[in-house]
Amino acid sequence: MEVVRAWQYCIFVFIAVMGMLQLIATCHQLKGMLFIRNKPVTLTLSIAAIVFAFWWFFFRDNRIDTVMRSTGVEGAQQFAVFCWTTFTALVVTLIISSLLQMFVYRRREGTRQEERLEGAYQLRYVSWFEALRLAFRRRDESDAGTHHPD
Amino acid sequence: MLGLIIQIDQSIVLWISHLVGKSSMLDRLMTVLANDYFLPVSISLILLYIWFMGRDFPERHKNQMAVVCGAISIGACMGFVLITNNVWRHPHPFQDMPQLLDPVTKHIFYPIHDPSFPSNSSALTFAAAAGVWQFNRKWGLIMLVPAILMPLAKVYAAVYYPSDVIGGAILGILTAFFIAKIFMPALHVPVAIGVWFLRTLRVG
Repeated sequence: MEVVRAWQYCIFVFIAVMGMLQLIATCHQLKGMLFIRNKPVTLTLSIAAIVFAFWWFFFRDNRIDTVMRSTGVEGAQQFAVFCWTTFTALVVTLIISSLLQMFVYRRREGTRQEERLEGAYQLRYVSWFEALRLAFRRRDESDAGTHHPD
Repeated sequence: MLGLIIQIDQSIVLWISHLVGKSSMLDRLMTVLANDYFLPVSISLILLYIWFMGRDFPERHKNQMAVVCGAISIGACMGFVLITNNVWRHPHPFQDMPQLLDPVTKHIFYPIHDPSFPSNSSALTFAAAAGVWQFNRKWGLIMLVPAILMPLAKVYAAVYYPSDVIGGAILGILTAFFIAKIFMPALHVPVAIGVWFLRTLRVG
Protein backbone atom coordinates (compact mmCIF):
# COMPACT_ATOMS: atom_id res chain seq x y z
CA MET A 1 0.00 0.00 0.00
CA GLU A 2 1.38 3.38 -0.98
CA VAL A 3 1.96 5.91 1.82
CA VAL A 4 3.17 9.50 1.98
CA ARG A 5 6.98 9.56 1.77
CA ALA A 6 9.19 12.12 3.50
CA TRP A 7 10.69 13.26 0.16
CA GLN A 8 7.20 13.94 -1.23
CA TYR A 9 6.37 16.01 1.85
CA CYS A 10 9.72 17.77 1.47
CA ILE A 11 9.02 18.75 -2.17
CA PHE A 12 5.50 19.89 -1.27
CA VAL A 13 6.74 22.12 1.57
CA PHE A 14 9.65 23.45 -0.53
CA ILE A 15 7.42 24.60 -3.41
CA ALA A 16 4.74 25.98 -1.07
CA VAL A 17 7.27 27.95 1.00
CA MET A 18 9.03 29.31 -2.10
CA GLY A 19 5.63 30.48 -3.36
CA MET A 20 4.74 31.98 0.00
CA LEU A 21 8.06 33.84 0.22
CA GLN A 22 7.49 35.36 -3.22
CA LEU A 23 3.95 36.30 -2.16
CA ILE A 24 5.34 37.95 0.99
CA ALA A 25 8.00 39.77 -1.05
CA THR A 26 5.35 41.10 -3.43
CA CYS A 27 2.86 42.13 -0.76
CA HIS A 28 5.48 43.86 1.41
CA GLN A 29 7.57 45.26 -1.46
CA LEU A 30 10.68 43.32 -0.43
CA LYS A 31 12.30 43.83 -3.84
CA GLY A 32 15.53 42.26 -2.64
CA MET A 33 13.73 38.93 -2.26
CA LEU A 34 11.87 38.93 -5.58
CA PHE A 35 12.71 36.72 -8.56
CA ILE A 36 10.61 38.76 -10.98
CA ARG A 37 10.12 42.48 -10.44
CA ASN A 38 6.64 42.62 -11.88
CA LYS A 39 3.95 42.64 -9.20
CA PRO A 40 1.02 41.05 -11.13
CA VAL A 41 3.28 38.36 -12.62
CA THR A 42 4.89 37.49 -9.27
CA LEU A 43 1.53 37.54 -7.51
CA THR A 44 0.08 35.13 -10.09
CA LEU A 45 3.12 32.84 -10.11
CA SER A 46 3.42 32.69 -6.31
CA ILE A 47 -0.24 31.81 -5.83
CA ALA A 48 0.08 29.28 -8.68
CA ALA A 49 3.12 27.73 -6.96
CA ILE A 50 1.22 27.34 -3.66
CA VAL A 51 -1.86 25.92 -5.38
CA PHE A 52 0.29 23.57 -7.50
CA ALA A 53 2.16 22.32 -4.40
CA PHE A 54 -1.13 21.48 -2.65
CA TRP A 55 -2.62 19.91 -5.79
CA TRP A 56 0.51 17.84 -6.46
CA PHE A 57 0.69 16.53 -2.91
CA PHE A 58 -3.00 15.93 -2.20
CA PHE A 59 -4.97 15.52 -5.39
CA ARG A 60 -2.81 14.11 -8.23
CA ASP A 61 -3.61 10.47 -9.04
CA ASN A 62 -6.56 10.66 -6.64
CA ARG A 63 -4.18 10.56 -3.67
CA ILE A 64 -6.76 12.12 -1.36
CA ASP A 65 -8.84 8.92 -1.61
CA THR A 66 -5.94 6.51 -1.38
CA VAL A 67 -2.58 7.63 0.05
CA MET A 68 -4.00 10.29 2.37
CA ARG A 69 -6.20 7.72 4.12
CA SER A 70 -3.22 5.89 5.53
CA THR A 71 -0.56 6.83 8.02
CA GLY A 72 2.60 8.35 6.54
CA VAL A 73 5.26 10.69 7.87
CA GLU A 74 5.23 10.53 11.67
CA GLY A 75 4.67 13.76 13.69
CA ALA A 76 8.22 14.44 14.91
CA GLN A 77 9.67 13.60 11.48
CA GLN A 78 7.08 15.89 9.88
CA PHE A 79 8.18 18.75 12.14
CA ALA A 80 11.88 18.17 11.40
CA VAL A 81 11.32 17.91 7.63
CA PHE A 82 9.16 21.03 7.66
CA CYS A 83 11.75 23.11 9.57
CA TRP A 84 14.71 22.03 7.43
CA THR A 85 12.81 22.43 4.17
CA THR A 86 11.53 25.88 5.14
CA PHE A 87 15.06 26.94 6.10
CA THR A 88 16.42 25.58 2.79
CA ALA A 89 13.67 27.31 0.78
CA LEU A 90 14.42 30.60 2.55
CA VAL A 91 18.17 30.36 1.90
CA VAL A 92 17.64 29.29 -1.73
CA THR A 93 15.20 32.20 -2.25
CA LEU A 94 17.63 34.72 -0.74
CA ILE A 95 20.61 33.42 -2.76
CA ILE A 96 18.76 33.25 -6.09
CA SER A 97 17.20 36.70 -5.60
CA SER A 98 20.59 38.18 -4.62
CA LEU A 99 22.25 36.68 -7.69
CA LEU A 100 19.42 38.00 -9.85
CA GLN A 101 19.83 41.47 -8.32
CA MET A 102 23.56 41.30 -8.99
CA PHE A 103 23.49 40.06 -12.55
CA VAL A 104 20.04 40.80 -13.98
CA TYR A 105 18.49 43.74 -12.12
CA ARG A 106 21.22 46.32 -11.60
CA ARG A 107 20.35 48.36 -8.52
CA ARG A 108 19.06 51.79 -9.44
CA GLU A 109 17.76 53.03 -6.10
CA GLY A 110 19.91 55.21 -3.84
CA THR A 111 21.34 53.83 -0.62
CA ARG A 112 20.25 56.58 1.77
CA GLN A 113 16.89 55.06 2.68
CA GLU A 114 18.23 51.58 3.35
CA GLU A 115 20.51 52.87 6.12
CA ARG A 116 17.43 53.64 8.22
CA LEU A 117 15.90 50.18 7.95
CA GLU A 118 16.59 47.18 10.14
CA GLY A 119 16.01 43.47 9.63
CA ALA A 120 14.24 41.91 6.68
CA TYR A 121 12.72 45.23 5.61
CA GLN A 122 16.12 46.34 4.34
CA LEU A 123 15.33 43.89 1.50
CA ARG A 124 12.94 46.57 0.23
CA TYR A 125 15.93 48.41 -1.17
CA VAL A 126 18.83 46.00 -1.47
CA SER A 127 19.49 42.32 -2.07
CA TRP A 128 20.22 39.94 0.82
CA PHE A 129 23.96 39.82 0.00
CA GLU A 130 24.09 43.63 -0.03
CA ALA A 131 22.07 43.87 3.22
CA LEU A 132 24.49 41.51 4.97
CA ARG A 133 27.47 43.44 3.63
CA LEU A 134 25.98 46.72 4.87
CA ALA A 135 25.15 45.22 8.26
CA PHE A 136 28.68 43.97 8.81
CA ARG A 137 30.23 47.18 7.47
CA ARG A 138 28.08 49.20 9.86
CA ARG A 139 29.11 47.00 12.76
CA ASP A 140 32.80 47.43 11.84
CA GLU A 141 32.29 51.21 11.68
CA SER A 142 30.60 51.31 15.08
CA ASP A 143 33.35 49.10 16.55
CA ALA A 144 35.92 51.55 15.20
CA GLY A 145 33.88 54.49 16.56
CA THR A 146 33.36 56.07 13.15
CA HIS A 147 29.65 55.32 12.75
CA HIS A 148 27.40 58.35 12.38
CA PRO A 149 23.69 57.57 12.83
CA ASP A 150 21.26 59.24 10.41
CA MET B 1 -19.94 12.16 35.98
CA LEU B 2 -17.32 10.49 33.74
CA GLY B 3 -19.91 7.93 32.64
CA LEU B 4 -22.29 10.72 31.65
CA ILE B 5 -19.58 12.49 29.63
CA ILE B 6 -18.72 9.23 27.81
CA GLN B 7 -22.44 8.66 27.11
CA ILE B 8 -22.88 12.18 25.69
CA ASP B 9 -19.63 11.81 23.69
CA GLN B 10 -20.73 8.51 22.16
CA SER B 11 -24.19 9.78 21.23
CA ILE B 12 -22.68 12.87 19.54
CA VAL B 13 -20.17 10.75 17.59
CA LEU B 14 -22.89 8.29 16.56
CA TRP B 15 -25.13 11.14 15.42
CA ILE B 16 -22.35 12.81 13.41
CA SER B 17 -21.13 9.51 11.94
CA HIS B 18 -24.58 9.02 10.39
CA LEU B 19 -23.68 11.83 7.99
CA VAL B 20 -20.69 9.92 6.58
CA GLY B 21 -21.43 8.49 3.16
CA LYS B 22 -24.46 10.73 2.58
CA SER B 23 -22.59 13.36 0.59
CA SER B 24 -19.37 12.58 -1.25
CA MET B 25 -18.51 16.31 -1.33
CA LEU B 26 -18.76 16.60 2.45
CA ASP B 27 -16.77 13.38 2.93
CA ARG B 28 -14.03 14.60 0.63
CA LEU B 29 -13.90 17.99 2.38
CA MET B 30 -13.63 16.27 5.75
CA THR B 31 -10.88 13.98 4.41
CA VAL B 32 -8.89 17.07 3.40
CA LEU B 33 -9.53 18.87 6.70
CA ALA B 34 -8.77 15.84 8.89
CA ASN B 35 -5.56 15.17 6.97
CA ASP B 36 -2.27 15.24 8.90
CA TYR B 37 -0.64 17.58 6.40
CA PHE B 38 -3.19 20.01 4.96
CA LEU B 39 -4.03 22.28 7.90
CA PRO B 40 -0.71 21.98 9.78
CA VAL B 41 1.17 23.12 6.65
CA SER B 42 -1.43 25.85 5.99
CA ILE B 43 -1.05 27.12 9.57
CA SER B 44 2.74 27.12 9.21
CA LEU B 45 2.50 29.10 5.96
CA ILE B 46 0.23 31.63 7.70
CA LEU B 47 2.79 31.93 10.53
CA LEU B 48 5.51 32.56 7.91
CA TYR B 49 3.37 35.33 6.39
CA ILE B 50 2.71 36.92 9.80
CA TRP B 51 6.46 36.91 10.53
CA PHE B 52 7.10 39.37 7.69
CA MET B 53 3.94 41.43 8.23
CA GLY B 54 3.71 44.98 9.59
CA ARG B 55 3.84 48.57 8.39
CA ASP B 56 6.48 49.78 10.83
CA PHE B 57 9.03 48.39 13.26
CA PRO B 58 6.80 48.16 16.40
CA GLU B 59 4.03 46.41 14.45
CA ARG B 60 6.50 44.01 12.85
CA HIS B 61 8.06 43.28 16.25
CA LYS B 62 4.62 42.51 17.68
CA ASN B 63 3.85 40.16 14.78
CA GLN B 64 7.16 38.39 15.15
CA MET B 65 6.49 37.93 18.86
CA ALA B 66 3.10 36.44 17.88
CA VAL B 67 4.85 33.88 15.66
CA VAL B 68 7.46 33.09 18.33
CA CYS B 69 4.68 32.65 20.92
CA GLY B 70 2.64 30.45 18.54
CA ALA B 71 5.65 28.26 17.68
CA ILE B 72 6.80 27.81 21.30
CA SER B 73 3.20 27.11 22.35
CA ILE B 74 2.90 24.34 19.73
CA GLY B 75 6.13 22.71 20.92
CA ALA B 76 5.26 22.99 24.62
CA CYS B 77 1.73 21.78 24.02
CA MET B 78 2.93 18.64 22.22
CA GLY B 79 5.06 17.91 25.28
CA PHE B 80 2.05 18.31 27.59
CA VAL B 81 -0.03 16.04 25.31
CA LEU B 82 2.66 13.33 25.52
CA ILE B 83 2.71 13.59 29.32
CA THR B 84 -1.10 13.40 29.52
CA ASN B 85 -1.13 10.42 27.12
CA ASN B 86 1.24 8.54 29.39
CA VAL B 87 -0.87 9.30 32.46
CA TRP B 88 -4.26 8.41 31.01
CA ARG B 89 -4.89 6.20 27.99
CA HIS B 90 -8.36 6.83 26.65
CA PRO B 91 -9.69 4.77 23.70
CA HIS B 92 -10.82 6.29 20.41
CA PRO B 93 -14.48 6.18 19.31
CA PHE B 94 -13.64 3.58 16.62
CA GLN B 95 -12.18 1.37 19.38
CA ASP B 96 -15.19 1.76 21.69
CA MET B 97 -17.63 1.34 18.79
CA PRO B 98 -15.92 -1.04 16.30
CA GLN B 99 -18.92 -0.84 13.98
CA LEU B 100 -17.65 2.66 13.00
CA LEU B 101 -14.15 1.54 12.00
CA ASP B 102 -14.71 0.49 8.38
CA PRO B 103 -17.65 2.64 7.20
CA VAL B 104 -16.59 5.85 8.99
CA THR B 105 -12.98 6.06 10.19
CA LYS B 106 -11.33 4.24 7.28
CA HIS B 107 -13.59 6.07 4.83
CA ILE B 108 -12.40 9.53 5.99
CA PHE B 109 -9.10 9.04 7.81
CA TYR B 110 -7.22 6.08 9.29
CA PRO B 111 -7.27 4.45 12.73
CA ILE B 112 -4.56 6.18 14.74
CA HIS B 113 -2.67 4.51 17.58
CA ASP B 114 -2.00 7.41 20.01
CA PRO B 115 -4.37 7.72 22.97
CA SER B 116 -7.49 9.73 22.29
CA PHE B 117 -7.39 12.23 25.15
CA PRO B 118 -6.41 15.01 24.65
CA SER B 119 -6.70 15.37 20.89
CA ASN B 120 -3.20 16.35 19.71
CA SER B 121 -4.45 18.03 16.52
CA SER B 122 -6.86 20.14 18.56
CA ALA B 123 -4.11 21.04 21.04
CA LEU B 124 -1.71 21.97 18.22
CA THR B 125 -4.11 24.14 16.24
CA PHE B 126 -5.54 25.90 19.30
CA ALA B 127 -2.06 26.51 20.74
CA ALA B 128 -1.02 28.17 17.46
CA ALA B 129 -4.18 30.30 17.28
CA ALA B 130 -4.11 31.31 20.96
CA GLY B 131 -0.36 32.03 20.79
CA VAL B 132 -0.84 34.41 17.86
CA TRP B 133 -3.96 35.90 19.48
CA GLN B 134 -1.91 37.04 22.51
CA PHE B 135 -0.09 39.52 20.27
CA ASN B 136 -2.30 39.96 17.21
CA ARG B 137 -6.05 39.65 17.78
CA LYS B 138 -7.08 39.77 14.12
CA TRP B 139 -4.77 36.98 12.92
CA GLY B 140 -5.45 35.01 16.08
CA LEU B 141 -9.13 34.96 15.14
CA ILE B 142 -8.31 34.03 11.53
CA MET B 143 -6.24 31.10 12.78
CA LEU B 144 -9.16 29.99 14.90
CA VAL B 145 -10.89 28.83 11.68
CA PRO B 146 -8.42 25.97 10.94
CA ALA B 147 -8.19 25.37 14.70
CA ILE B 148 -11.91 24.52 14.77
CA LEU B 149 -12.12 22.77 11.39
CA MET B 150 -9.39 20.16 11.89
CA PRO B 151 -10.70 18.67 15.17
CA LEU B 152 -14.27 18.89 13.85
CA ALA B 153 -13.27 16.77 10.86
CA LYS B 154 -11.65 14.24 13.19
CA VAL B 155 -14.85 13.97 15.23
CA TYR B 156 -16.69 13.45 11.92
CA ALA B 157 -14.25 10.61 11.16
CA ALA B 158 -14.93 9.07 14.61
CA VAL B 159 -11.26 9.45 15.48
CA TYR B 160 -11.86 11.66 18.54
CA TYR B 161 -14.68 12.27 20.97
CA PRO B 162 -15.88 15.88 21.41
CA SER B 163 -14.46 15.84 24.96
CA ASP B 164 -11.01 14.90 23.57
CA VAL B 165 -11.20 17.89 21.24
CA ILE B 166 -12.36 20.23 24.02
CA GLY B 167 -9.61 18.89 26.30
CA GLY B 168 -7.01 19.48 23.59
CA ALA B 169 -8.33 22.99 22.93
CA ILE B 170 -8.21 23.91 26.63
CA LEU B 171 -4.67 22.49 26.89
CA GLY B 172 -3.57 24.46 23.80
CA ILE B 173 -5.12 27.73 25.01
CA LEU B 174 -3.69 27.37 28.54
CA THR B 175 -0.25 26.55 27.15
CA ALA B 176 -0.30 29.61 24.88
CA PHE B 177 -1.42 31.79 27.80
CA PHE B 178 1.38 30.37 29.98
CA ILE B 179 3.96 30.91 27.23
CA ALA B 180 2.85 34.51 26.54
CA LYS B 181 2.41 35.66 30.14
CA ILE B 182 5.06 33.71 32.06
CA PHE B 183 7.57 31.94 29.81
CA MET B 184 8.29 34.72 27.30
CA PRO B 185 8.65 37.54 29.87
CA ALA B 186 10.83 35.28 32.03
CA LEU B 187 13.01 34.32 29.07
CA HIS B 188 12.91 37.78 27.54
CA VAL B 189 16.67 37.91 26.98
CA PRO B 190 17.11 34.61 25.02
CA VAL B 191 14.00 35.40 22.94
CA ALA B 192 15.31 38.91 22.21
CA ILE B 193 18.74 37.50 21.27
CA GLY B 194 17.11 35.00 18.90
CA VAL B 195 15.03 37.70 17.20
CA TRP B 196 18.04 40.05 17.06
CA PHE B 197 20.09 37.27 15.42
CA LEU B 198 17.44 36.74 12.75
CA ARG B 199 17.22 40.50 12.17
CA THR B 200 20.98 40.73 11.75
CA LEU B 201 20.74 37.98 9.14
CA ARG B 202 18.01 40.10 7.48
CA VAL B 203 15.38 37.39 7.73
CA GLY B 204 13.48 38.83 10.66
